[in-house]
Amino acid sequence: MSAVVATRGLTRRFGRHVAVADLDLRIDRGGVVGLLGPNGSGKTTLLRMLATVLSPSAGEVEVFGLDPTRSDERTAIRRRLGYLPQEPTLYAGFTAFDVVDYVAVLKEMTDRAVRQDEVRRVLGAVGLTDAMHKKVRTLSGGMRQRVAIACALLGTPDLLVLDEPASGLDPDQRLQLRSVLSAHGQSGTVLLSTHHTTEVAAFCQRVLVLLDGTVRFDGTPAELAHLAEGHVWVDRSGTHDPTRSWVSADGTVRAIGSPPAGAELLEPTIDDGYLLLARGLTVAG
Amino acid sequence: MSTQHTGGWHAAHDDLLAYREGHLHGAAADSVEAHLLRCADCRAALATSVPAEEQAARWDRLAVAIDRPSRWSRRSTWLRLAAGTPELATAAVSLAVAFVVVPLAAAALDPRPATAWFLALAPALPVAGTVLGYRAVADPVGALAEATPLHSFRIVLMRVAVLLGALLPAGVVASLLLPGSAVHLLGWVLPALAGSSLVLAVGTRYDPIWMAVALCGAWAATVAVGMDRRRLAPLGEALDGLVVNTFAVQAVAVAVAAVAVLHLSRHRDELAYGASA
Repeated sequence: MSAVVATRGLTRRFGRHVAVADLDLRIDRGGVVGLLGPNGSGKTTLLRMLATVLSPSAGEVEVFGLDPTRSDERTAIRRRLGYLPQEPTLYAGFTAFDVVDYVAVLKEMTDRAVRQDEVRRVLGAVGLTDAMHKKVRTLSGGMRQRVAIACALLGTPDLLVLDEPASGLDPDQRLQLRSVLSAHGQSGTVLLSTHHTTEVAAFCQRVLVLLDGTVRFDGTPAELAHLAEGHVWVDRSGTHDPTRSWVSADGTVRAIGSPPAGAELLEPTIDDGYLLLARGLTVAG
Repeated sequence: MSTQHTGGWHAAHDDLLAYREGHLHGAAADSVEAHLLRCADCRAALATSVPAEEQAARWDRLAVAIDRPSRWSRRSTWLRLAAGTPELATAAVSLAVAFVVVPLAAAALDPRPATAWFLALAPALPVAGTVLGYRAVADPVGALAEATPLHSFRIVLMRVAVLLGALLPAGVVASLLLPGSAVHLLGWVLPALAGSSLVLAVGTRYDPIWMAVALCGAWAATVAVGMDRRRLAPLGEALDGLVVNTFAVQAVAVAVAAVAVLHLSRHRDELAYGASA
């Protein structure tokens, strides 16, 4: 199977700071891949390089087998790509329709009737049919985020690169987003970054955990949860460390790390696996 | 025209039918319309007189009319890209008007310094306009555009073409209307084009605003030094041989413009804007 994304030794520096370090990655066609990591871990930098908007400092990157550092191949990649930046800015005086239509023009949709049908389709997909002719300045933060997601969906791209798409969305809207992206993952490939492990657990087939610019975990959400097998227990000490333990919904105190002798072990979740990695908590054995 | 029923006056059935078909005009149509606004019975009678299929078709036509994209999105594709934001278009028009009005108003008060200052400052406006076309104020969708096939220097060049298309003719008009020789007063055109090209060329790698500021400052200082030496000369002599009108300056302007355009043609897909972070 040909890779949609392939990187070898991919590195990006900003001055002395290394945002992405010597990263090897391969993503095949189909499915939804979640990118987890704390702020500053290099998620946005990696996505920007894969979305062809940032050039690498070193290493190789291929998208659809093409090299984004070559201008002709970069344009060919962009024709098959949908990209949602982390902080999209929309012109406040445009309507939602105008914004998406403008991006559709930039995506070379020159036939006006076809383009406007597509604009209505993607705005409908994100639940903005009723608000499509409202000015951006009157839209809520969640609605603006959905306008930006609609722009990324234009033309049903083969690869969707979404930087924190669930940001600013309420629970209902997140469900709708999962549905849209899951459907997209049936035919195309979706790569999204998020802070929410629940998003990853809910609809990603593969999860990557990025820490300090390198991939520290690559597997399924279940495998990420399994990392914490034997390292989540009920803390009955009454003096729990809030960075390692917290009160769960049923009132018990969950703790992660190396359990004391005789501790009651709990079924780990993807949260536990991620926290073990992200906080560098000791995993014995 | 109307008939009286037990509940009050109502529009005649024939009038309602004629109104429905669009056959009533002028005062008769106004009269029926005014009555319909306050008479629920006649509105109901009018509504039921239209077949259900026709009603559905009319709602569809209304929905299409409401759903029609705004005037902005009906403009031609390329004009939309070139026009950028309404702020950019407003800035282009405002700068063009100022380019004509300000020097002429100043010349009406005191022609010699006004004309000399026009010559000194004229290249700065197109250079400023070029930077304006490059920057985020001109771009309606910001980072959302970055990964699209058309996002490249072509879009910036289109916006800059719109700005220069407004500014350069305005400057030429001002030059022709000011006192003094037009040949001398048009000396700013080549430096302006060279400055704009250089700003764009720098924009393939860096945000060019500091290049624009440095260029405009250096230009104003150079011309001001030349003016200082000739401040007591009559207008014609003050402009003739002023540094801007020297062969060397004009030749350098042509050379800079040529190098910048060559660079742009080779790096037209490299746009520093939006990709620096």
